[in-house]
Amino acid sequence: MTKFVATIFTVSTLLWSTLSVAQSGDTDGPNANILRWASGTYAYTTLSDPRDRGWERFHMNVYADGSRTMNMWHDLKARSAQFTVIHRVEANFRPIETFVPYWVANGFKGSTLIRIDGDTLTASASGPAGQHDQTIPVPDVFSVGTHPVSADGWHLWSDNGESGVDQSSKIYSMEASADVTKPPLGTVRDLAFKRIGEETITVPAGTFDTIHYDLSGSQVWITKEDRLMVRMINERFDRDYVLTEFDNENYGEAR
Amino acid sequence: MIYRIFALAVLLGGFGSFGAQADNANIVRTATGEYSYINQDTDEIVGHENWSLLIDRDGSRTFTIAQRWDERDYVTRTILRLDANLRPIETYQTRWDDKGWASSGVYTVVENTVTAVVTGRGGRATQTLEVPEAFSMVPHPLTTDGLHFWYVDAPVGETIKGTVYNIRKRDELSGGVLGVVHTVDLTFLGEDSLTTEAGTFDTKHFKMGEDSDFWIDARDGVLVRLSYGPEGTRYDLTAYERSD
Repeated sequence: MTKFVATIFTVSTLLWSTLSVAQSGDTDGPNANILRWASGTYAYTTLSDPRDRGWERFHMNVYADGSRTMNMWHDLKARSAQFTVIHRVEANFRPIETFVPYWVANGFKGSTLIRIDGDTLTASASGPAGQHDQTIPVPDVFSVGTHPVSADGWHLWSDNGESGVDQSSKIYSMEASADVTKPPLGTVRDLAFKRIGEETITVPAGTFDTIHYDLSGSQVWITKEDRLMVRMINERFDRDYVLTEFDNENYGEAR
Repeated sequence: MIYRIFALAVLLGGFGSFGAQADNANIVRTATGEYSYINQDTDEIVGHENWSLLIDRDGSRTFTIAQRWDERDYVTRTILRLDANLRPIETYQTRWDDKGWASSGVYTVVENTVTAVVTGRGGRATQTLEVPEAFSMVPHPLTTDGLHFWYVDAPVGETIKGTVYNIRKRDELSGGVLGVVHTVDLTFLGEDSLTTEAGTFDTKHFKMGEDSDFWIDARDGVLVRLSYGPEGTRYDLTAYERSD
């Protein structure tokens, strides 16, 4: 009876506790939904100077069903761009859902919710360009490109494991130019890549066992299990994206 | 051709060259923080949250929040956007409960309505509710609980009726979580200096209802501490960093 009264009281007063108390009870032990997590920070620089172009942070959860969620937010000051993204994928990295508010050099560009239901992608964008809805077919093997780099390793989920062989995938690539009259919707394009091989690399965040790819002209090194970006360089465009901080300690220890 | 596609898809900013690097014109300042949910009887940490705040050039704010309440097997990921007054603009949230993934939704404010488009285990649902000019949104991460008092301008000790859009109503068919609009009693109790693991803060102390005490760093509506007596849990800001 005491517990019941407490529950009702909570529902009527403390907003925070409402949903949790009403919809689920306490359990023992660690959070059953979270298998593991990781967070980190990237530095954006030029390769030649090197000049600071911005930063990006991420926080990823891997859930009990194998699905993953990536929070990404960046300050691309070289373009006065600021993107915030929550991106959900299945256990095999096929996209489930993405939400993105975009700020570009000319101001707020808009927010877009993208959902994938089987072979159909629906996107709904709202912003200075108005409300725009999109429904398009998507193949089984594809990814969603939102432009922060944290999840760019997830474009490579269809890798067949053969090194030195040209491979291809599809990407739903978001419009992200400074033109705010263009809504932040995407188009499906080809994406070529090649697996170079396994390499251990050291970056400011530490030493990582990675898989090295050529991703359409850029060199990328990603972790194996969660396909997290460790480093991406593109010599032609003079770009370097490197992991400078990384944390995946057990919950309760540090984060 | 493929090279150009890559630039569009992955390497934003891949064209052109740049001179000396100026700050991002869209970002006025940033902040990050963390909360611990603490059992007041045992001092055990039973949940955790970390967040990032970006203040944009028009004064609007974007919170990005990762929350886990291990005691409840509860997880949320949230983006909350607010205008310069801290009135909500839109919220995206995806959440897990003790049965796994539960719901995702976007809750968009257009003048005096909030439209929710949600997906749950059973499908999709939409809902539009009216809200007053002065209201706050309750997606349930602690980070958002510093944002309920932006319009409170009452003298110390006087209780006013506030309004919240509370994301808590489970839609029976879709299983998605819709909103409920209801009133709450809000009382300003004065200004306190409060120290947590994150530092010492000049806070405004508010009460919601009878037993919920909120201490807010009013500069950005950052919750420093929430104490809820009957439940025996204290929610403390344990890390905080501002770019200025």
